[in-house]
Amino acid sequence: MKDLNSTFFSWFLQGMRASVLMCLPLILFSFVFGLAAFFKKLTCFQTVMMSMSMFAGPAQFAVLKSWNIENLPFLELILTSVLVCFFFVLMSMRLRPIFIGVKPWQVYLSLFFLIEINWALTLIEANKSKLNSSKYLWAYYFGSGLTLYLGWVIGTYVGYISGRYIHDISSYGLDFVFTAFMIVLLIRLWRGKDDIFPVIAALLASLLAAKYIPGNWYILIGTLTGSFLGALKQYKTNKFMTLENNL
Amino acid sequence: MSKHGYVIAIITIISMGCAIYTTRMLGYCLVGFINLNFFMRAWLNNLPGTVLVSLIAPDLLDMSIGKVFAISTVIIMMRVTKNYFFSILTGVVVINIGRF
Repeated sequence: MKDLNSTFFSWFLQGMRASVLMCLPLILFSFVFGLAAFFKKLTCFQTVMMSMSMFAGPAQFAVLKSWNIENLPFLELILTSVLVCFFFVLMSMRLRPIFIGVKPWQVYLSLFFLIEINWALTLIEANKSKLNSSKYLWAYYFGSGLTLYLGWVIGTYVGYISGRYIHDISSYGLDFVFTAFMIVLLIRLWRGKDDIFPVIAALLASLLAAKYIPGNWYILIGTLTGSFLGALKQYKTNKFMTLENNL
Repeated sequence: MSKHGYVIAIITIISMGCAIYTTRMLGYCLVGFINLNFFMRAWLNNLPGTVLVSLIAPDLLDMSIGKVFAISTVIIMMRVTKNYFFSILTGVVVINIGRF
């Protein structure tokens, strides 16, 4: 039993170690989120609370753009955050066969920490070590998720309090970090030339919507247009790619 | 900010957190209960890329030569080094040079 626990713990630590390096860009990203929230006049509590409860960078930035404390567009905010994070549905589906035998409460607790980084790390580890028990893989996933979560929340807090010393978010090019992060994620998730069509369609639709439609509808319009047209094309050509094509 | 507005903001934040957690556990919950057809799976698989590119649309509308260089640098660096932090950092350095 002692051996089992130590192995379990060592996998947990291994997961933590694997994601420490990935924490650096995440902390930079959450730092900029904290800073942006400061300039959007959110309170420190609200900002940290957002990072603690959502733990999803792109969704948090999207929500921040529509954030207007005088008149909070509740439905738009919920809809935006769900759509931006909807691909988590696919990611957690893929984890089911990997976590067979793990207690359901443990899995559901740990799913709170699911982001693309620890998901990819866990799948790579699962492919590498086919003999490993799902409990160890779960420990690995949980350790890595927890590390990324801590980095995310701490980065947000530090970013928020740094707002007092930075006069403008565009100083030092910090406003570009968001765009740069989205681009590196896009490249990381890129699956091949079949991705070109949906991404270009989404880009054109969102650019048109951002230019001509007031508010932040460009996110929903771009995403829905690109993903539907892409699916339609893949349906017609009978070509199918999964999220794992790039791992 | 009024106390009322503050409470609404907190409720909104927690609701968004719950909504996102639902997307995280939904897939795990539903495996075995539903069979997604080809179109649905293709649609879901297209979401990450299209979401990411749609999010940066306003930033792309406001283009400058410096930004074109910075974006190109990020793309090249990420493809070559596959290092998130280094790629972002190089992009930030290039945009600063452009603005200088």
